[in-house]
Amino acid sequence: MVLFCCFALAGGKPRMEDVAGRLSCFCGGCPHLVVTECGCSVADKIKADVAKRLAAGETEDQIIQSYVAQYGQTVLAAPPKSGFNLTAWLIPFLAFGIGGTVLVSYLIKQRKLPEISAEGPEPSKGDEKDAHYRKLLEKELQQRR
Amino acid sequence: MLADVGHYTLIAAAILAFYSMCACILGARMRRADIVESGERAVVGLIFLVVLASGILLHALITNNFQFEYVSHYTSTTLPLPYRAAAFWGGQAGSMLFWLLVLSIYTAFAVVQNQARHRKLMPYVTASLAGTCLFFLIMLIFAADPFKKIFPVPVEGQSLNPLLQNYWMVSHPPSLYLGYVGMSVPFAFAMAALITGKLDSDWIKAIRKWTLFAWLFLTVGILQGSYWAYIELGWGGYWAWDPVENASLMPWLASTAFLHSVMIQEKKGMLKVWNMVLVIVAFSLSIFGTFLTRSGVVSSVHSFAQSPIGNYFLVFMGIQVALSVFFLLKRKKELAPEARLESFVSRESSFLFNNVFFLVICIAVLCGTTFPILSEAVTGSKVTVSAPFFNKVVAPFAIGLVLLTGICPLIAWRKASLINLQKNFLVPGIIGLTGVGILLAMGVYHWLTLIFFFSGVFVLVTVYNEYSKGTKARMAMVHENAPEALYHLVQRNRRRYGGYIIHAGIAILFIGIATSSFYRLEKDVTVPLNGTFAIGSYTLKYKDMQFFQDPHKEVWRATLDIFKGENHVGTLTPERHIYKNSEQPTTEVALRPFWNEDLYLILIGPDESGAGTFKVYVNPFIGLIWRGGIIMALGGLIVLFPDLKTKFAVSTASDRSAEEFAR
Repeated sequence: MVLFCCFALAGGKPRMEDVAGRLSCFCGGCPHLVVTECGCSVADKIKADVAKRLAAGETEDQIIQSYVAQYGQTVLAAPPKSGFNLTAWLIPFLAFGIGGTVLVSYLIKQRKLPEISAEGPEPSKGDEKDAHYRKLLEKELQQRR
Repeated sequence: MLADVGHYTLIAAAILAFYSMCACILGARMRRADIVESGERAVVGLIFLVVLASGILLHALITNNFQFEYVSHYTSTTLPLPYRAAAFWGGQAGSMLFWLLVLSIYTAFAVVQNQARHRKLMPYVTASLAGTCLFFLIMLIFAADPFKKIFPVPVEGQSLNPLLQNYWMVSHPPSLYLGYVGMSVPFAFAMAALITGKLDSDWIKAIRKWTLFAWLFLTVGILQGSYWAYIELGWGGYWAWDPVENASLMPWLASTAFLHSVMIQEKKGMLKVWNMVLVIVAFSLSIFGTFLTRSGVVSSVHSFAQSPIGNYFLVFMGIQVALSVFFLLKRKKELAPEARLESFVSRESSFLFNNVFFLVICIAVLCGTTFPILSEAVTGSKVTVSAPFFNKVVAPFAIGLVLLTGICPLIAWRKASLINLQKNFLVPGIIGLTGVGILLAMGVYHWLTLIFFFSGVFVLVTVYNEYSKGTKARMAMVHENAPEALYHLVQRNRRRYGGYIIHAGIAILFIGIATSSFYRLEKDVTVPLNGTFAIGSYTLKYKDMQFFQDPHKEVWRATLDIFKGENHVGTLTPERHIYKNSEQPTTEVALRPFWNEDLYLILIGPDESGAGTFKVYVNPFIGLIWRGGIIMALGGLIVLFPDLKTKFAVSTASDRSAEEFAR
């Protein structure tokens, strides 16, 4: 159902928000906010322009490309997923792949190791009361498994 | 004159820091307790001098002593007193001095607190902290001197950036710095443990509270910053993935990962290398964060080349990382684990997965923040990496992390069985899905909102379960009434139950993020005087526009009544300020929080006819973000609260079995 809703939302004509949401505001007063988020007059003009062009039948890509041609690549809120810029998109997922693989292989290796006092340090002598409860705990843990 | 005193105070402090560092290392090498002691005493002198230098700068700022270049850049005669004081951390040189001030106070505390306890570690702890102080002192003396004089002395200063003139800006940077700088102490202990080879759990015990203290202030600082952005920047949001914000988030992620994985070392003597790495990474990221935000490198590689402090930072970071790696490799064998992991599905392994998620988010943030610099250096062309990149890249891992927040505490230590999992997961799962069903019925379809909501509810139910199980066990076995049982439950294991409160806070925070991000209403309107407009279930009536000025700024203030149906539910007075020194207009947002949403109004401006132009937002459940944050801070305080009774309390057998039962 969740997936269905996503597809339902994803379809249809591009809206002004979708296009302007890919552009970064260059008013200088904001920390590189997306045009749809910035409340400045520059952002308002871009939004109006995008809406006008969409109404005139231009596609999302045409509008974006014309902005890139006019203002340079920095007008894009996120780097395009091509060329050198692709590395920015890939690094986090690569890191996850590497981290995950290292962890899983570490866990597999750990399971094969002989047991090295997995119980932690032995209880000190003279701690009989503790030993009693330790046994009780072991028993209960067994039951709970 | 005063400026000279300040400058020479810094030089004297640098000499003391250098002496302290050398004396501690040499004393420890030569086994001469007297030399070490003199090195530690030098730290006391150091803190005295740094406090004196800070006092001089603060005095100059408050009294508008424009002989100081720094004072003339960041204050003016009309700037209100609290902001004149806050200008201390408003500019580069001042903020560096503030870093040093906090660091030297921490150093003194760490030395006094541990002098008698960790004799073997302490000389190196002191040396490491004094070394860090020395770095900041050198930078202050040679590259970012807050005591630099200006001639001719200006009659009026340039004042503080209007955006920083907000009360949250008075408290937010100090909280953040208390957090950032706090990471220096765990790092110093880690280095001391590596250098001395005393790698048992002593150093871990010594830094546990320090790390948590730093973590707590980072958390509070980050949340204060986001609240400042929300009420001051006037774009309806609270987090823009700005480099300055990211710089504070990265050490937070690394230290949170550490706070989890350190438990495995304490319980099982494992992950010793990993924990060392996390402490080193957390400290390096706080230094890197300061570098990132203060060197100008983010705005452009070229502005970095012009900024004098960047190279100092690079050298210091190089030395610090090289030393850390060298000692880590040297002690690698001695850091072997004392136990092994028994199962894929155990609390230990779930903590490790959580560490992977924390670090991957950290890498994603680091990658996005530094990519514009990298791209400019490699390809020669600049790119913008802003919210759409971070949202897309971080969201999948954030979902995983929130789910793990719910799952981790449900999995037994050592080895969890299927029955154990079924029993613990069933109820939170069902309640979470019911919540999702209710949202769907209400017309909320965005999948991210649904997933975060499910995860959040799941976490909240598990936290409730843990509390109720523990309380009931105590009630049955120690025969206490419910409030007593709850109090003792938390008091006897504050770390665990405080930790659950932090988890509950995080869950609430994420529910707030997920709902406010996708279901915001927004409207731009221009209305004549006495005109009305509607947004969501509210109607706003524009009643009045006033203009007035004080010596510092010109103010436009609009007054609007809010109606919900026929009922008058409040008045909003958004303002637009034009500061005389900068001519830069800023908005003063008017906010009316309701239990479920915030009505957020910005005055864009009046026009000649008296009509007002406004931007209005309805942000659903956005308040949950900061409420969740407050709960996190409370949880942190519970864990941090010093042991008042436990040292003297003798735990009874029934106490202990109640605890065991609760597990």
